[in-house]
Amino acid sequence: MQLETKVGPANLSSGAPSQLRSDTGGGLLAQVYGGKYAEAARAGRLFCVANAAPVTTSKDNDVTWTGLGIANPTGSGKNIILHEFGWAHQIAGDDDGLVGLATTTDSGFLATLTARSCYYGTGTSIAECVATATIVAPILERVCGTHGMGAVTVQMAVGPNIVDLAGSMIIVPGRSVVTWTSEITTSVLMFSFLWEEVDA
Amino acid sequence: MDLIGIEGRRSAATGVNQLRVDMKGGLMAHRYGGKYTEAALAGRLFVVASQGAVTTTKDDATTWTGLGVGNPIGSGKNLIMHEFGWSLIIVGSDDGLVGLASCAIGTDFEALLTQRNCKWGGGPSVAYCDSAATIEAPILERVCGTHGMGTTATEMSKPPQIVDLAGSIILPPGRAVVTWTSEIVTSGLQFHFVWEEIDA
Repeated sequence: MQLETKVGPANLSSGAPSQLRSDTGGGLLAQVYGGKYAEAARAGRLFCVANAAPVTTSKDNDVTWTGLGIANPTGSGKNIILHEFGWAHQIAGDDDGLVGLATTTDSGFLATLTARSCYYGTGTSIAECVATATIVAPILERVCGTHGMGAVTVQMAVGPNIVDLAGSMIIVPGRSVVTWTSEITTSVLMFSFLWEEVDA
Repeated sequence: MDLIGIEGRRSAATGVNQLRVDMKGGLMAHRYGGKYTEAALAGRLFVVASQGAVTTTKDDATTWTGLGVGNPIGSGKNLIMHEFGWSLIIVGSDDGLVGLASCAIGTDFEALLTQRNCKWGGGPSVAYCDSAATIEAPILERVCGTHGMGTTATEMSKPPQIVDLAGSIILPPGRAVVTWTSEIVTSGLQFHFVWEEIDA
């Protein structure tokens, strides 16, 4: 079967049928529209969570960890597809270092923070979100920026410090992703995650 | 056979739908999802990060240190590089440029660091990931940013220094990509790479 298109623009009225249009090289012309996460959000598969207040972060691969984390509990039947990670100072930092993302198991996680559907009232997340837990030693996987100690009176604004993960981290049942800082920061940083949940 | 679409937005909840075109006959395509989701879910996406601040070598030094990903000879795979991230963990010891270079994998490049599947349990990588090796003279291919010696007492934070390579570097068997700095930076930088592996 040979599928054919037509070169050159049409001038269609609403509801009119038309051959699909191609360029002179035979490539199909497509107008991309909509936000890339709109379909998942409307279907109730997209969720987010953020710290409610600045958190004190633990250092390096400390197992008495604090920050923001998401676990996919063992037996959930879902995969978590991570799309976005955000981080920012709320006040001046008290130490300098690196912000990253690490992964570990779901050990130590509880649903102490509430994951919110990106389409209010649609869908329920299986994720367990926490700001503090005793975890299995995490492994750093992503390097996401540098936090400093600059005074808030010097810079007008910083960021956004948002990492487009674009689905490049899949958290399977029994695994988790946690924020990672190379140094302890004391009640200055806040984090957020955006993710999608699909059947495993 | 003509590909026919209908002009105008419809409100079809489920079932079979006709394709939608704009007024000029172009296909209306709604982008959806993260661009790496499919590869990650399929277990083809991998990541590696420096597990501590590394000292980098200067320019095209063959006694190289930093972070590198190599595709061993005979792997049967191509490595499609998607993302490179870098950050200072402390005040830089020198100012200069951060880039990416490529070289032959040589004989000293080894699997010193453990790369991780972006979907836990999703299968092994063929790549060798190393932080120090005697390599063949690298050739700088990408200019990715400037590292300075600014005090951490001035800046609140630096945004994610993440380069969307978007598949623009392909490592066939026998080739490697390595971090490149114009000057020696002493225990100040950490890096990460995200890549996909497909049959060569």
